[in-house]
Amino acid sequence: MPNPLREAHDTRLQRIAGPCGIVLFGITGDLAQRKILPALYDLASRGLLPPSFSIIGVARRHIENITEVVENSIRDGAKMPVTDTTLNQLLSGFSMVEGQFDSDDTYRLLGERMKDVDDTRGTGSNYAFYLSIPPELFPTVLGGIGDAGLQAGPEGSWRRVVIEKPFGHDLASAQALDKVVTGVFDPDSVFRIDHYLGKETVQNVLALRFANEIYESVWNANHVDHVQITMAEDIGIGSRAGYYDGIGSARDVIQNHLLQLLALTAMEEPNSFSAEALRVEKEKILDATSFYGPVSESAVRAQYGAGWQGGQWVRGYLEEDGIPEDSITDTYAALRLGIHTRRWEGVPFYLRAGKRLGRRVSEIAVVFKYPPFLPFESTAGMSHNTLVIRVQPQEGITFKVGSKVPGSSMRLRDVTMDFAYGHAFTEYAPEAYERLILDVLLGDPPLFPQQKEIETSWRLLDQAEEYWEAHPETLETYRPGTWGPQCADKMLARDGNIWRRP
Amino acid sequence: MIIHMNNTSSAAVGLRLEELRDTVGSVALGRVLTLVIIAKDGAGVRDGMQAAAGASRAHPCRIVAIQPIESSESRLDAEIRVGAEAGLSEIAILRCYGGAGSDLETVLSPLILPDTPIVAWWVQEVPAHTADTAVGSIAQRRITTSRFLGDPVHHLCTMRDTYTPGDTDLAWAGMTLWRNHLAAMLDEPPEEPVLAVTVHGAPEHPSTYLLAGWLALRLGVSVDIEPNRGAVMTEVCLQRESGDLQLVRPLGSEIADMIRPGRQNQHVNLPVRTMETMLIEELRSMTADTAYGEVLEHGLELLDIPEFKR
Repeated sequence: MPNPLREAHDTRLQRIAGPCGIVLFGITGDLAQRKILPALYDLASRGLLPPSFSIIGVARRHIENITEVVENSIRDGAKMPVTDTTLNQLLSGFSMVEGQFDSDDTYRLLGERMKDVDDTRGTGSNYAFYLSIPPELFPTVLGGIGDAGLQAGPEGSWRRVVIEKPFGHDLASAQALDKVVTGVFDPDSVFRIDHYLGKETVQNVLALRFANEIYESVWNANHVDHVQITMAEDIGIGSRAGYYDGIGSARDVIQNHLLQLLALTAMEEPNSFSAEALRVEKEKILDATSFYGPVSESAVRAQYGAGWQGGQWVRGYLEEDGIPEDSITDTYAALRLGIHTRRWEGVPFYLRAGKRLGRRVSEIAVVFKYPPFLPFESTAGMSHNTLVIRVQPQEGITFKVGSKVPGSSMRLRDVTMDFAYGHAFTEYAPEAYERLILDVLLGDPPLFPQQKEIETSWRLLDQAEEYWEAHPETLETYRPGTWGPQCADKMLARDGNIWRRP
Repeated sequence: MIIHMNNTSSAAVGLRLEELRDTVGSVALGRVLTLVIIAKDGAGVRDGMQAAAGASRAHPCRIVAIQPIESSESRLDAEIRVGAEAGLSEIAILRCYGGAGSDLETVLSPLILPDTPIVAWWVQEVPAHTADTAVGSIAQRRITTSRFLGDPVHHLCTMRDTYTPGDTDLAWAGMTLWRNHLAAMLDEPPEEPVLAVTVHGAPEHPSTYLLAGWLALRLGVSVDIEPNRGAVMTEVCLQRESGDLQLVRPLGSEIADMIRPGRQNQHVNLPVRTMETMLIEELRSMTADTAYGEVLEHGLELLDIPEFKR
């Protein structure tokens, strides 16, 4: 029976999750503390969680005052003001199950607790298992869930599983991971979080392209010269040596975030905004993507050296704590890709990601062709029209156009038209995690990447990684605080292009 | 920064606003709508301004407040506020003495932002026919404020009889939090039909009738209104076979108790909403609120109140 109060088209009623709970593995981990718990509080604070909402934490050891730990992480991380009412409301549904991840008892206890919570709080046996744990533990935990039969509830209820990147470190490991996950859960119940896709501006790429009339006619190889997608960080690897070494920026960022951005930028219009329609288009475009020329000329990577960055002396990658002296892990990687479709044939897509670059910025720049003819005497000072979608910071869109310089002569210069998301919409925009967790609870999958996209992305990146592995001598270093190594500039110079300064 | 312009025209005010934008710099770089506030007296202008300046932090806009003043002398006095006083907006207050206020559409024209929606807000009244007024006829959205006027049944009848898509009253926004919690309570198992409803609310407050009308319309059962002494809503009780679902907010509290058979009672946030938060909700949508229209046109008549029958 559908809820009669929700039957009418009522825009004021919020999209609120139905009765449900979340089972959080790794509740004391970094991600749970920094992102997941604060996001759950923010959702509760905005009234988007059902009254029955419950959190069951699972931990391997007993933690004294765990409630206090949870409360502190909420107070530190929540974006909404923390009030006692909302906090108590959320924590009233919080409980812990303690036990080893490889022990059957743990999952038996968990199953009993879930049943208990159903009765006392009315969660309706709907649960999302959030695996906020290292991927090595996935087989153990998923096996435990499967053996205890927790992956399916009674008729009419749902069980979902949420996993975070990395989704493997190459094609083979991604497939192995998927086998483990889908061995227990139905593929439709698996939600893979790429937090980039939860960002408002990334979703706005779709609005920009498909809600407007003016872009579609120029969004093709006739008018677009090339596309540059950048994700730059100004910091080093910090304390992530254990995770980062052996992974590198290409696997860490390009395989997931940047190839997803490429797919959203280049894909055809989906027939609808349903998960299925989006998936079809993203898969199609990723399938048609390959290196633009031989891999040896289309994939470069480098490591940051030591030096002065912004007035501070910083260590080189090889001098960071926990990094072996002979590491060949990349902290900067750039790819030159092409898409073999009628729309994009002949348009290079340049992707770059790195640490210790000039500043923290993520953007998509669509660079248009130079006009074939200009009636003006002097066109110096005018460059390509460029549409830049800024993902962060200062989310928005900039359009670079030529304009007349005031004066008696006809001189031209570039100016920018600027749309800042935060100037037009100053209302509270949900954090990426907030949005994605709510989507998991609502069972709304458009923003989650599917296994096939992930495999296609790995197939592409594996070619670069294999080439780099076989040619360690091509590894360059770059000065910290700059925009990357010379080899990246040379790669674009082959096509007569230069990197934008983002 | 506050600038006074006496005995002026609205075109001059518009020019001055654009000048200030270039020289002083206005906080709101993007302005997404023009909010026109119609007040009866100085207090109305003040209250409306305060709520609107706050709401502009969520929806950057230009705010134009109009206060017609009866007078034998005809004169337009204006006050411009930009910067810290104006939130994320720019504000023009127009005091129209005598004949200066007789054709409000032409007074407004120079001050309306090009090609963006216009929202009209009557802070102290419900006009006899909102959409037919000079301001109402050029606005996409018309917001009235019936809650302090007394005689809510009469005003609700006026709103219903003249309802035009795009109309809303703040008394409806005042019920959104209650409606959200009630809908969430019915999301939960067991899925059972509601047999009867009782609403405990202030009989002098229009929100009471809108909430009752909504429940009657959506649930298809009879809804009793229990008048209480306070000025606001205190309780809604949904009777079902397995027991009563209750949402109870004691007078003066910001927290309600959610009472469900066989479950722990739960405290939920349910503050009395400020004008500012209601206005933010109103400005979120520039399209007609059909759910509100249906409650006015088909929900009120289901209540056991003779004036609503037709």
